[in-house]
Amino acid sequence: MKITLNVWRQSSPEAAGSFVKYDVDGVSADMSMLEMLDVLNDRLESKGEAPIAFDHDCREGICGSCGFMINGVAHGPEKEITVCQTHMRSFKDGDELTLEPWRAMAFPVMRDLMVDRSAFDRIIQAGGYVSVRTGSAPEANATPVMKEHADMAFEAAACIGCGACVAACPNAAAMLFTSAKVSHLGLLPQGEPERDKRAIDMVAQMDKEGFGHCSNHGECEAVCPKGISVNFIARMNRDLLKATLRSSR
Amino acid sequence: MSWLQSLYASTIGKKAVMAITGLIIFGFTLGHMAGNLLAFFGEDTFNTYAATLKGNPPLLWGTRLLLLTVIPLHFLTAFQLIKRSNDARPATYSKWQPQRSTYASRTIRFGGIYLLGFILYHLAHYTLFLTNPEFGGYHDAQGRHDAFRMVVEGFSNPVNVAVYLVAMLSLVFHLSHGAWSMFQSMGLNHPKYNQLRERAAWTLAIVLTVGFSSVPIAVLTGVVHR
Amino acid sequence: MTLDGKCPSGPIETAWDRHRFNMKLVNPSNRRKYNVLVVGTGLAGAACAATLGELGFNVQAFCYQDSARRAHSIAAQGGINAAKNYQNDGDSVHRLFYDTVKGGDYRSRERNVHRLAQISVNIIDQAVAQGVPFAREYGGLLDNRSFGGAQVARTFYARGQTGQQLLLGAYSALSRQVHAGTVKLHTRTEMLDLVVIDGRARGIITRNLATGELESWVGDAVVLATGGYGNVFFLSTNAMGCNVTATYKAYKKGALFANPCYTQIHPTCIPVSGGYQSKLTLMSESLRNDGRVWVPKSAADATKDPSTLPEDQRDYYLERRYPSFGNLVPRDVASRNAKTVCDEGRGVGHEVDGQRRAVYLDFRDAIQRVGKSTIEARYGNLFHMYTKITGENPYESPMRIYPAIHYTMGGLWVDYNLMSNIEGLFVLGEANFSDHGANRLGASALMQGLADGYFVAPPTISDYLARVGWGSTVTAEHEGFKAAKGEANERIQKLLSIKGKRPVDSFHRELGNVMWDKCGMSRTKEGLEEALKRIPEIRAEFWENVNVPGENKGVNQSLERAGRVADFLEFGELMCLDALERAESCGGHFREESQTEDGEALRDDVNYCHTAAWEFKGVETAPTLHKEALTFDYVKLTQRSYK
Ligand SMILES: Cc1cc2nc3c(=O)[nH]c(=O)nc-3n(C[C@H](O)[C@H](O)[C@H](O)COP(=O)(O)OP(=O)(O)OC[C@H]3O[C@@H](n4cnc5c(N)ncnc54)[C@H](O)[C@@H]3O)c2cc1C
Ligand code: HEM
Ligand code: FES
Repeated sequence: MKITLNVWRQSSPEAAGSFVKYDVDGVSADMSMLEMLDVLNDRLESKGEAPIAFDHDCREGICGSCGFMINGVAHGPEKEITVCQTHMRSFKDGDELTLEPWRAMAFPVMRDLMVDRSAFDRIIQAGGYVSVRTGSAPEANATPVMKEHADMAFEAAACIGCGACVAACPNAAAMLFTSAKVSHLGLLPQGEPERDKRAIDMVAQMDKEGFGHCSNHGECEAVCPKGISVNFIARMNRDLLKATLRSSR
Repeated sequence: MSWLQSLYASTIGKKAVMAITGLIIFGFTLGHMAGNLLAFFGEDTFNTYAATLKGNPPLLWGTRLLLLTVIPLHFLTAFQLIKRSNDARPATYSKWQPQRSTYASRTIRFGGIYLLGFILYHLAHYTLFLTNPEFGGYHDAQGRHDAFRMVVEGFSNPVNVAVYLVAMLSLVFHLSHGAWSMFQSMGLNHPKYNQLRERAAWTLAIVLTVGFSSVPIAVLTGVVHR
Repeated sequence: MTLDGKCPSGPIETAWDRHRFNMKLVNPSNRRKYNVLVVGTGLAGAACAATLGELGFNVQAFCYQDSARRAHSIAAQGGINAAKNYQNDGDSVHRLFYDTVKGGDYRSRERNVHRLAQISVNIIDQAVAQGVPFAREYGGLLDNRSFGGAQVARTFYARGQTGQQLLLGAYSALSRQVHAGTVKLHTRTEMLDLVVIDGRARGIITRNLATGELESWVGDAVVLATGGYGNVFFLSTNAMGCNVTATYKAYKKGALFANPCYTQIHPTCIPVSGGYQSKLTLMSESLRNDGRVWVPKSAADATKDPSTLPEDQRDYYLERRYPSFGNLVPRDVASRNAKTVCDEGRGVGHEVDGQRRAVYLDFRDAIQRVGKSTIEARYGNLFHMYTKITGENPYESPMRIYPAIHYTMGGLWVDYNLMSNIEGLFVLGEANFSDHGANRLGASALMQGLADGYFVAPPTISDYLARVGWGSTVTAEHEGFKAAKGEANERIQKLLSIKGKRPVDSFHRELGNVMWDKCGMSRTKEGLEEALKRIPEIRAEFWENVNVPGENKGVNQSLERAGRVADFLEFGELMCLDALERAESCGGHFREESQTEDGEALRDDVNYCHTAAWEFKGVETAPTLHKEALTFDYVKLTQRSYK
């Protein structure tokens, strides 16, 4: 099939970008979205033109490297998958697709569809961990964990840090990302001692990075490739409010 | 009070302020609506109600003071959040397709601004009598302030009614999202009750709006008259 | 050169403890005076950098991705082994040790493996304390499963995302140290060269992938935890960025490369669908517990709708050849047999380059036996993934699978301390050759990466640092750094100046095809010799005709790929040479000349019971082979059989 692409091209963080149109023919339904871009990039490279830059690595939906907007939807039209898992059979011959990078103040565009998501790392560095030195861990089965809590913690921990939640949020909020980590650790007995401090520190860093607030639109949950629930946002709100009240004592 | 400051400094704290102030205004509007509905029982009931309120300064001024703090706080916090949201996405998408958000959630800020304008107008109209100085001079047979006459005359003007009805429409949208969103903002959620929360929000929003709109419509259509 | 593994002597059970006691310590107040460079933030690198940071050393950590959390360890699905014996099914440190040595087809060092088995239990404790959400039973205790045909249930797992959860645990420990200021993280930074001064590893040269800037980093020790080189095959289950650059450059600087031809092939991957294919996706091995593997008996039926083929037209070849293990034969056996039936023209699925390379994995009988809902509960997420990729529904028509390159057992040679033959160069995780011999058992790579990173390397690195002392005068202005940086820059300029006709990927694909055909699942002398002729030709054309657009400024992904492919083009030759030299079949390495009468792998313990470690002598010159003899005092050498 033939696909027309409208791709955001921007040569450097400082440069002004614009959309460029490409016709890609010979697209097979079995190709992944990124393989279709590979084919286009090979053509561009053969002509000595700069290929379209985009982050990607595992190409199986787990590393969280890939991600851009396809026709105004983060990670494209299919639910609960990433751009790298999106296959061209989701589109039809003659379709026109607009590919645009994640847009947020805290995610500056580096080149084309590639953005800088280091703000996420700094949020984790602010408190997304249990302070346990190597070697100081107690026997693993010494602390039983309710299966329900363990399962729920896992669901939160499934976050791949791709940034789609920020990209889709009308306020460019990082609440789903932050709350997933706060909840994952907060739900486990291992994370309990630092629960208050973690919530306060991580939210403070999140705010400092310039992400927006949560209006409870739910866009983040809808595009999350791991289907992480906004219930975790409520849980983080609760944790933060409690922690702040407790800190007054 | 440093914890209050640090709370307000965070986006989550600001949202808690939105939720609590919103809840208070919401509570007030429910009471206000119930009072308004007394208009259907005629001049005497309505004026008695108005006079009772006036005759109870602690209640009257308590409410007024509360609203005078809470509404500006709601508005100011909203303003700060909107600014933050705009800053967080300086470059907008050429194309964006909503997936889950609703018309109500996306327009809450515009409805809010209309509501602010409306509240100011409403105060000027019926509380401070700035638009209609004559309202202050109406008295009923028992010498009480004739609030009933004021309402009927006010709503006999179709333009006025239109302003009110649009405000009520804004309110229905504002609250259909806001009345469940505030639970989420306060961290009050449970997967079992989340759907209930949303339904209750719509129901209350509609009750409130229908209740509020019924009086101006009833006056305009002559159902309520002097 | 004699290769000394430096293994402690005496009883194996106490070897590691005794060794640790004999190591030197660095005084806590002196630790911050040492700089350690850790390249790679996968399980091995992140664990090591975090632990060294906790101890108080000054650590610089590097990875090529935009975040440390994205290292390819993230993709591991199945689980991690540990000898906890929580299931009371007879597991023990000794049994895990025994299984791993045997599974490695007797080509690993006994003492390394024993240490690995001992440490396995500490890893689980550590991970749980970090908040890794392993699967649990209703009683709240940890759950286990049996994996890869093991007789005991010793595998800990977090749904199908064990690697992700373990890596996020290590990443969180790393993040904590970044916050504490002991670790400085350099993401989007690729190591291009190792700097060796007076026989000691003293630093690295990196390229900043965001700006193109080349930088020199000076350290008292250098740790490489840069993962495997499976991408030399172009198509593999590895991430697109996985490369050999770091370890290959160290090899060029004198580090020995051990057993490069040992690669593992995973039998259940989604087959290639077309020439554009960029990578292969692994489907968990657990599918073979219920799926039956077959191909049509006759090549003429290859294109027929499988559901229309009657039972007597199907060849359940694994069940036929291995009646006792059936579909659960080990990875290498399952893979090789799939290749054989496809070579016979009985492969199914898409035709790519004139060949059909896939076999059926059929759940029809299992669905009939236990019901669709049970199968859905067991494999729902895998079926979903399969449907997403292929557009087909495995509940209705059989899955198609084919083997793919998955893991590389070979790597830089290291001694018991995980130090290479270059002083101060430590190699961890998949990047070293240490613990898996010729074949890795399922769920043991995660174990090894974390054992190396959390528990083995930190004390051995401390010991090394204590011995060499601090206060070296080497700086980035040293000739060694200037020369290495100059070379790296020259090479980049060369790549950018060719401006030929072919894109980088086309060379990578071409190399990959040669490697897969000649140095893949089964190898012959002729094939390998052919490859050894062909690879230099491809390399020569690459340096004349590649087109790398743009310049060395800002993001240039073509340049990144070109540099990696250039290294693969040299490394592939080394792999083929090693494969040629090892004229025996062992583990994942099947030499057609060395097989039993009924076509099974035949190991040659008389001539090949050694580690082959190669020394670089120049790109166009043959490397020198050094052998480290392997001795087995605790596990008896036997031939594996699955009949
Ligand atoms: C699909 C899949 C499934 C698997 N499933 C399992 C399983 O169930 N159980 C199991 O035990 N094992 C499994 N494995 C194997 C296991 O995941 C890996 O062997 C292991 O995680 C490797 O860890 P590592 O730390 O050595 O390297 P990696 O995690 O690959 O990390 C390499 C690091 O080095 C960095 N790096 C690489 N090159 C450079 C360079 N030139 N410059 C700078 N940085 C560089 C990268 O950025 C990265 O941070 C699986 C592997 C795959 C591919
Ligand atoms: C003064 C005029 C008003 C303005 C400017 C205003 C503005 C806003 C805005 C912008 C929000 C959304 C904040 C966000 O992005 O999440 C909001 C939420 C809300 N508003 Fe208002 N509003 C006004 C009046 C009212 C009134 C009259 C009520 C009640 C009857 C009300 C109740 C609420 C509630 C309950 C919320 C939800 C809070 C939450 O999400 O936690 N508001 N308001
Ligand atoms: S490339 Fe790893 S999630 Fe898409």
